[in-house]
Amino acid sequence: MTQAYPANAPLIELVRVRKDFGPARPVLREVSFAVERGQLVVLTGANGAGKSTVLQLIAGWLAPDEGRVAVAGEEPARLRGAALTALRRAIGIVPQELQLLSDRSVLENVMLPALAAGLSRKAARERAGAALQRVGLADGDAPPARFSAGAQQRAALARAIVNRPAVLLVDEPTAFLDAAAAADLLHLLAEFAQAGVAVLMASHGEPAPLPAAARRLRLSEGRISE
Amino acid sequence: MKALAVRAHALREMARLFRRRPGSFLLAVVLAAAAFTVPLAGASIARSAAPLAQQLPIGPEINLFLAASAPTTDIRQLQSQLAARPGVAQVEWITREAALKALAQRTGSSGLGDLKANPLPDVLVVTLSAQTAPGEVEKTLAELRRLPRVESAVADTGWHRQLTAILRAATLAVALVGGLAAALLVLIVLASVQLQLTTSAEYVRVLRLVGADTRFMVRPFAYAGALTLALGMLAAAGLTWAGLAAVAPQAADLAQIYGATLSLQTLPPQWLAALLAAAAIVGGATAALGARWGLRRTR
Repeated sequence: MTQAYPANAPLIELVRVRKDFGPARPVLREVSFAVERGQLVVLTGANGAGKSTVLQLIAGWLAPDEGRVAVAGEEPARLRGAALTALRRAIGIVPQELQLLSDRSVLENVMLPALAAGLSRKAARERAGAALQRVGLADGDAPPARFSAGAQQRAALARAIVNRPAVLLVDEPTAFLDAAAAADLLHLLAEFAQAGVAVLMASHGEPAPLPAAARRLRLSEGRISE
Repeated sequence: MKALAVRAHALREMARLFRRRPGSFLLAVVLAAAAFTVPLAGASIARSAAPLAQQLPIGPEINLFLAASAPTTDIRQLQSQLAARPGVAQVEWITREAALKALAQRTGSSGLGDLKANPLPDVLVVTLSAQTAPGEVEKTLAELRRLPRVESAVADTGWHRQLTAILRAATLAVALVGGLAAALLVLIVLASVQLQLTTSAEYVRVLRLVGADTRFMVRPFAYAGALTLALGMLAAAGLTWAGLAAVAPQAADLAQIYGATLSLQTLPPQWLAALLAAAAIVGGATAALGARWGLRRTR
């Protein structure tokens, strides 16, 4: 999918997007922005500003009421079946709640997307091991509860990158991390961006100095400002 | 390779489903076994009793009383003609002499021997096939009455009507029990899947997060449904075997009183294997549908 997409075109594109949760709850009004290959974009805003809604629109879990949301030129809200599955596999997501399964090891958690993509257990294990090393976790044999908050965040990040996505969506990754751990994580996200991934991170503030290459967007009252 | 990998993963996830709620899984298997046992035991008994039933004269009979003047050659010809009629299973000729002898034996009357002439007629007993409808019996009776040399014809259609009605009711009862068992099994599997989906909500959320397709999500639940019904069928076969083994001697003794032989046995192994496979397929398909429905509902 992404191979056929022009290399210089933005991987994430929102054009005049409006999203309401009922008539009394307008969330996004004419939101437009783009994230290109190799960019790290940090979307900040107060709690309830609509940052997670933006991520959910990009992931295809929500459909915009108006406007266009596209990932690598495809509109997730218009896709169904195999096409939607293929697009979702091109998007790595780290949700705010992490959603690491407690009934299996961290390694098995990270293997799950690879297994869902049809890889053999051996290949999935190898790929998950490499992803864990990439985020700085050498050993993933224990269940998530035995890991610190920072390590769990890294494990969720490893799970998001195990299928080598073109787009990485990260929701409030530094919310429960101390400044040093937050800085490490931001550094890691910047590395992914440098490797060609379009990284969009939602955060209610700036817990650590952002990497120099990071682009800041602010979401307030349903509108985006640079 | 990919197909094997996803199936192997589904089997592991199925084992996790059972580990999450082992009690619920066991309960589902026990309920499935109970639902399977009644029709399975019924089928085993019916198959064991089939040779016995074949010995019973269940076809309707028409007795043709022939004129006293009918010569033997005419009677033989008539017997052959009747035997060739469609729907006729058998024609038996009871000669007037044989009838008198039987009557004398039955009544123990020595006075019959003093009769100057045998008052009994020759009788042709026409047995129709067991599948003959009561209305068809009446029609055949009317036709046979008009045959030459036939003085009168009598059919005992009352018992045949009763037997037909009883067989119909029995067939309906078997269909109802089978239908109820099938409905119960479907409900057991669907309820089991819904419970598994509830306890696996986090797992399903993660699968959606990582871009798993519906088939990948549904497969462990389908395998769980297949295993539940297959184990239920196995347990039902065991229960049926034990139950039949326990009552077989008494049933054989009872049949012997009526001069029959009855040996209660379970269904042949190849039949049980086919039923096991059918149970697994039905369980898998029902669970897959239930899981798809549940996943759509919680999207």
